[in-house]
Amino acid sequence: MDLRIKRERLFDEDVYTVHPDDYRALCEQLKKDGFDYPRAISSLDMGYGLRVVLQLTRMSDLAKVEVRTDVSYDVAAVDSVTDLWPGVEWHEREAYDLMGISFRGHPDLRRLLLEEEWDLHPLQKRYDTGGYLIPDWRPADWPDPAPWQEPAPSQEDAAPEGGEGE
Amino acid sequence: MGLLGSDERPRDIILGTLDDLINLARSRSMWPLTFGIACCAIEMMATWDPKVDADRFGMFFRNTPRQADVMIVSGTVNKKLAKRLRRLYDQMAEPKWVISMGACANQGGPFRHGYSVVEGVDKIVPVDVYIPGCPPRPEALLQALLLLRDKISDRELRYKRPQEIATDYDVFAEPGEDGRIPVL
Amino acid sequence: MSSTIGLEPVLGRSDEMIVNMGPQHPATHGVLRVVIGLEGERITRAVPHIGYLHRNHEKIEESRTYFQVVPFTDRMDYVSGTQNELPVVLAVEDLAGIEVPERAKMIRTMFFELFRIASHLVWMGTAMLDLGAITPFLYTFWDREIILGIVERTAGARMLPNYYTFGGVRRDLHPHFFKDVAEFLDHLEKRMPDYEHLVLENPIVHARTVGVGVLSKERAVARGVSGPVLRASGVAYDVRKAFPYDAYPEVEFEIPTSDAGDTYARFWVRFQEIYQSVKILRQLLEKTPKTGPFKGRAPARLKISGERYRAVENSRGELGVYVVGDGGDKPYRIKHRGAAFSNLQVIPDLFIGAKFSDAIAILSSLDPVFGEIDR
Repeated sequence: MDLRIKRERLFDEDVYTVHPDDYRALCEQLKKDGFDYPRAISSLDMGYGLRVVLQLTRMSDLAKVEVRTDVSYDVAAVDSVTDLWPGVEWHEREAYDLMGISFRGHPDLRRLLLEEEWDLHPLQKRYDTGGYLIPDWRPADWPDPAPWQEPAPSQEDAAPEGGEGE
Repeated sequence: MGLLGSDERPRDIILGTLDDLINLARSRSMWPLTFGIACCAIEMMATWDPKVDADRFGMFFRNTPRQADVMIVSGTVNKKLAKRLRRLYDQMAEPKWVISMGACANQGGPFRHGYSVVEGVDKIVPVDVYIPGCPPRPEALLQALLLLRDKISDRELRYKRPQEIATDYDVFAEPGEDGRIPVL
Repeated sequence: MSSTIGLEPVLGRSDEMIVNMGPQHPATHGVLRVVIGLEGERITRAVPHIGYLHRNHEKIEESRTYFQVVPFTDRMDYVSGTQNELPVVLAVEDLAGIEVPERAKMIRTMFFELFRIASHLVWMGTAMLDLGAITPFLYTFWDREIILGIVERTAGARMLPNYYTFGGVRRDLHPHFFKDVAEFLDHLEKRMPDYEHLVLENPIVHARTVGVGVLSKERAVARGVSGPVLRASGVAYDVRKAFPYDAYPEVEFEIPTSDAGDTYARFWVRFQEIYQSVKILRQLLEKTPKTGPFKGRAPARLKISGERYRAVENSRGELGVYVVGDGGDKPYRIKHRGAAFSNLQVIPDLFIGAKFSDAIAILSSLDPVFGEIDR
């Protein structure tokens, strides 16, 4: 079968970027290839659409694979893979709850963490975090941190740690 | 011959009002509700462990709100939990007290700017003692319990029925498009 | 939707009784709510409801710098302290290419294992409380206080120390650290026979856990279960061995597994893990240099781009994080994969068919922590 797919290698895992219509077909393929352990489903708001990231492990040789698929805001739905890996049931519900991605064919797709009456999907970038931004606590003339390719310093003059204040 | 008129009263008799007697009994047998919410709940359990041992002050956990006097709000209260927390508070028999344990229960803690966290449990129930810390040490909770004990038995601070809690926004509301909570 | 979610399928039946457990319940280890349908003593339906401790970790971390994200992760699995910080730290180190000195890796691993023991001790006390035994709680919390004292001496805080940082740890070890840990391990080894006697050899525990809540190997893998729950079902999957991190390649330890898959096996595996942690700690006490660098060179302001999933084996299983950086000093998205989150999904599998009183024992053997489940 011809799948619209892009394959790359990142660190220790294979990453497949797939067209949302082929997402289900690729997952069936991976299931046949022996990827039996679902680690997580993550979801991202990419700015141009929403992304589903499915992470799988093969228990026999511990190979890791990551499947990514992008959907537009208007569609915001992919096929559910709950029947292939029952362990993604709550992960899909969480992605639906917080990111607003629907999973077609999910047996019990309702909000998991927030209340059922809400209609907000807070992890989308259009929702603010509450109007709260951390002011930059460094003065304008604060020197840029030294390039860190330099040889490691001794214990006494370690680099100043950043980000501790608000 | 009555005892009141005698100059030589037995030393083991104390005279006072009935109020004092009742409050003595109340302050020496505060029974908290078993309701651990988050991180602080572990420190709450540690307060009843053999090292700190709050049992020695006559405080024992009760599993049902009907038998409890003190609610220790030990952790972050979000909007989903807040309704249940208020219901638990309403189920407790009068008189009842609330201890707000830790930064989250006091004002939302590090999570207060989020969409789901109530900015302080005092928006939901009236609070008697606040404990700072994230999480507070067991000793801090013990001190709060002793402060509450003093409050119960103190004439000046004596327990009053909680008034209506006034907030200028709907505590349970879903945030709007900008992430802010709508003002009433 | 209505508030009777989860009840509709059973409301029409007259021979079924609905029992609501939680969110305020002494045996739910937090704010879990399970709606249970009963036919006599048998459970016919179990619908877990979570989210009562959802505190927008993932959203709020998007507005914090990477250094400020680390203390937030502490509050996820609050029983096991520094263990939560490690996935974020590892993922960011991978993306930024930060080198970690060997000694810092060993310090991290020692704290990791100390907190594993602390977490399992809390589990032991609370699980036995659920089964009606108060005595183990008094012993285990005493021992846990010793660990927290050791942690506090070095890291400055008891429970949520915020101790790991990019490139190593925040401060050097307290001069008494090695002596303290060695003394504690001696003490714990003397205590362990008592604990075995109180818990594993306890006839009441046997009666309530052996053969109860059996999770088959295939079901456990398909459900994405990890940690002691998975290993009690006979799968020797441990992130420490499978995808080693920090100083784990340098120490020898075994992965205890059991084929029974029942509640007792999950109890047993956690006990064996305490022994393995003691073994790891003893090796590291010998190997770790007394002085040396505790932190590598890391920029004061991290700017990260790229995606990375990293996982560690915390007390409950595979704790993962998916970090996405867009080149700024704040993460674009952070997704936490809670171990207990996946483990808790098996509630319907295990509860249905069991007796109502067994539900408590099964739930305590899953050892959920809600900071990590709801996030």
